[in-house]
Amino acid sequence: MASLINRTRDVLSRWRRRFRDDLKASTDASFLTMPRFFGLLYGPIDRSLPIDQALRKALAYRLPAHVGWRHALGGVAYLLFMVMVVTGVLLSLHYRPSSEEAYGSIQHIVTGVTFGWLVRDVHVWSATLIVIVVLAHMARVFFDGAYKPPRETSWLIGLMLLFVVLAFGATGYLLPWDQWAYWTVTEVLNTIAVLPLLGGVIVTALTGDAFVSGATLSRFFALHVIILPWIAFALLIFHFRMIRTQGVAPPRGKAKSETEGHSFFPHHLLRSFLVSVVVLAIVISLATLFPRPLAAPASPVEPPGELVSTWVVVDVSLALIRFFGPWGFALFTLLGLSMAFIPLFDRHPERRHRPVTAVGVVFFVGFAILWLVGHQLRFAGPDVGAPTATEIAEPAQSGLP
Amino acid sequence: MKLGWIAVAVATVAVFGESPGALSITVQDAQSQVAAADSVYGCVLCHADKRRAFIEGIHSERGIGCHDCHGGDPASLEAVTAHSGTYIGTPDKLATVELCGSCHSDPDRMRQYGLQVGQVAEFRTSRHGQLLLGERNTDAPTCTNCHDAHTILTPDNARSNVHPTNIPGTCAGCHQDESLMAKYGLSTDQFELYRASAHGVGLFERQNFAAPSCVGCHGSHAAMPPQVSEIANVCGQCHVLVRRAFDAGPHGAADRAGNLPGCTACHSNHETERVPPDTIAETCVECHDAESRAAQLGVEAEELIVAAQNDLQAADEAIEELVVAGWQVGDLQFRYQTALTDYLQIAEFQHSLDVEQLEDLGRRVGSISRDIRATAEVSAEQRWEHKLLLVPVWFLTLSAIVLGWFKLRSLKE
Amino acid sequence: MGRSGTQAPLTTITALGGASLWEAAAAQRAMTAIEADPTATQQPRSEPRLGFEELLLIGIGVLIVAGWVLGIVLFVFSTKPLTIPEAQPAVPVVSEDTFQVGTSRVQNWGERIILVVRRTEHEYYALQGTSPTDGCILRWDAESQRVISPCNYIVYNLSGNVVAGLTTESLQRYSVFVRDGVVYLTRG
Repeated sequence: MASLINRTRDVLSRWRRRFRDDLKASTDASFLTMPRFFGLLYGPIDRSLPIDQALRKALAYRLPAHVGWRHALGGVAYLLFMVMVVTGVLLSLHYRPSSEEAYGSIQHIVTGVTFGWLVRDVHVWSATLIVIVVLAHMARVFFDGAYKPPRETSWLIGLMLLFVVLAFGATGYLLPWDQWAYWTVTEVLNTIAVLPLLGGVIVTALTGDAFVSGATLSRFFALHVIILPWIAFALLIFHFRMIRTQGVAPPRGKAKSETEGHSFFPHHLLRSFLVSVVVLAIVISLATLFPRPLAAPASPVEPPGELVSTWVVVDVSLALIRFFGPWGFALFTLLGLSMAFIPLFDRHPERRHRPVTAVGVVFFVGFAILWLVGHQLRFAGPDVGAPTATEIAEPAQSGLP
Repeated sequence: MKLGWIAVAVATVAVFGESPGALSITVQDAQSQVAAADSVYGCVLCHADKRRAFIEGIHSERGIGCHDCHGGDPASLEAVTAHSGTYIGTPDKLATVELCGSCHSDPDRMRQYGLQVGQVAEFRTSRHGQLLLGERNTDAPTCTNCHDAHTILTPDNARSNVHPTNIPGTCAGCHQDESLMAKYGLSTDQFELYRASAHGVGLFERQNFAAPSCVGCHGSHAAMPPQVSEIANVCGQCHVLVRRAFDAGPHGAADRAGNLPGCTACHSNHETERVPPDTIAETCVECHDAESRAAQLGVEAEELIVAAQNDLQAADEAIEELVVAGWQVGDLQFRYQTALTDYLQIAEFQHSLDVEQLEDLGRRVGSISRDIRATAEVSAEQRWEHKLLLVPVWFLTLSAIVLGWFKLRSLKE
Repeated sequence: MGRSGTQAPLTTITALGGASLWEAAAAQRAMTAIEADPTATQQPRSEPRLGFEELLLIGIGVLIVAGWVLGIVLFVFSTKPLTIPEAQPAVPVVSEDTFQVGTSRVQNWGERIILVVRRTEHEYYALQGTSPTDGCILRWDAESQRVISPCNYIVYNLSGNVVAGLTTESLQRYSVFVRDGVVYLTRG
């Protein structure tokens, strides 16, 4: 009996001591003061998983000296992606993914929900900006030769991320279910269906019906909200892991980075903070000054008089489809996909490979020019191969004597 | 035995199925072929094309044969003997009228088919009848010119020459012939004008059989252009409410006194166009003195109507703006329809020239339009308020940039 | 020395508040000092000095984050309900008591306009309320028991069929039911 009491007393006193230590440690000025102060359980957690230590290491991480402002593009792309995730989740609290209610729910978000207009327009503008920034980041990596060994996998993952971002935008474009959304998607799907072998299969899988309908909306919503986010997160983790493991690519023409630059904290963190603040301010400004207009509700019966594009990639796609036909569209997509093979042709760290550079220039400059062209088309109606109205037959003339 | 029937069948096909259309022979055709073959109907041996035209029609269905109109001996298989006796050949225009009338004016005969019997009597009163029967002028049409000699289809059959959508074309067959109409000093633009008019569009494009074809205003067998004093009554057959308003006003009185050609004073007869609201005053001045009270009234009416039209237009644009901004517009759309109803009543009641009533309606249109535009203004104001958010956002951003810049500089040192 | 470790997203670090970053830097310096001199104590020696600049920057960071959080909270807790009239299975018109026998009501259902007629105490009819030719709102004429257009001469009966006038297009029909003393419209 006495030993039982003694043992209990020991246990209690041990707990008491630990609690006191934790309480004291929580008042230490350190990185995670707040969680520690409010969560006295933090002590045990930190003891088993050294979170604090890991974070200190990350903050102490030194970036090479040649890292400049242009290297922020990747981070900006990630920031915009996070903005899209947050605004997307917020929108999904009010959006209804059925063909009957989708349009009405968007109207409700834009006019009935506090700051709904802002969340929605930020989401729309970020969709345009993220494509531009991702392409700029890709161009920076390309022209810096940062795809060369050992960074081929990063390049490949990055390219896959580009296509995931484009897929996000394409699937999200249909969700407002207004005339512009509906008929743009119809036109693009019609174009893809024309391509041999895979075209018909892909379009059938995406549409889920004889024509774009509620079934398509469901599939696009599932892709946009469930399938693509999982793929994106997996690719992002992989992408960051590779970058962390291999470090920032050395300057062009050199095999290794020379001097050790500044630590992440406070130098690069401050720079990142400033860049983030500016990017967010730009996004909010664009969202406030140029809200995305809503067309009439989607009518599968009647195409609209004009098809206004609200995403940069739609301008490019429509320019390709209308001036170069379905094959133009397919070829440009193939050009983008073929960029995956660039690291195969340009492996030497010091040599500049002209044909490879040419391919990159064609892709990036081509994208910009196509956007300009597509932007001029913004007031043309959809080209959906609708059957032409038959001529009204003249009434039969009677037989003359 | 079986072989015999096959032989008959083959013979039947050989005799009657000589043209490319043979393969599309219907059951009905085959039956009447067999019946004809049974009774050895000689006419069809030479006149197979006429038979083909005839069996599509209502006369054939009712068991009428070639000899019932043309006479002759149907049992005979040779031309000489067939074309004998009561044979009249192809009747001329005058004889045709008598021929058709011999059945179609007989009430005892027509009662069973529910057909009217006044056609010949009506025809006599028509301009066509006056020319043909009175002056023996064969420029005028006879029954078969409109109803076809052999393929006589009932008017409800869409292939019939006298189906509502085909009547204008049937009339145009002669009335668009310039050399023919020049003899009588008649224009040839009626069909084209009619086709572009509200009546033509309604009939041809919208299949609205309430829209009149030529016979709706001119009559069919008694076809005659309406007299000046009859015009308002003709249009008033359908445009009842406009007619009532017209009668109640000074123009109605003028029409009754014979001083006005009815509706055609302002609207064309075949084109039947609306008078555009901004040309109302000009139209009044065509008859009235520019300084007169009547012309003044016209100017007032025009201002009122144009104002109402502008109000309606502005309301419509406001609703468009609200749709673009993402508002639900069901209730506003309802109010717009109310305003539209009032505006359409203006279009109708203006024929009475009762300016007070028009003012009242115009006021209602204006008030609804103002309410709708006010909602659009609320939306515009909200947009402006949204822009105020930029002030704190950029203030914080610029402060962060400035402070960060200084901090970065100090870190470099 | 590996460069492994958990990736810390920029915004997350910013969002967790700037205050302790500086302390972390101080602690880091202290740790380096401890590694150099094993006899030193674990407690940081010098108090971190937060200059005016740093405080301002932290303040701005906090304000920005607070702004975002406030916006999101207001968004999430916005409780105005979403109503899509067209998607409703039925729409209430008026209470039975206020709907006199022999009169009519015009009701809008989303963008549709419907004319409801109470012919007798238990007989209701609901028809398309706008003329198919010009969009004019129709009226019920109790005397002639017909639905008429005030804008053009068109007369319909209660089945929606044209009796006389300038059109041959009939009116769309709707169903009416009464529940708990309220008259409702529904499709078909």
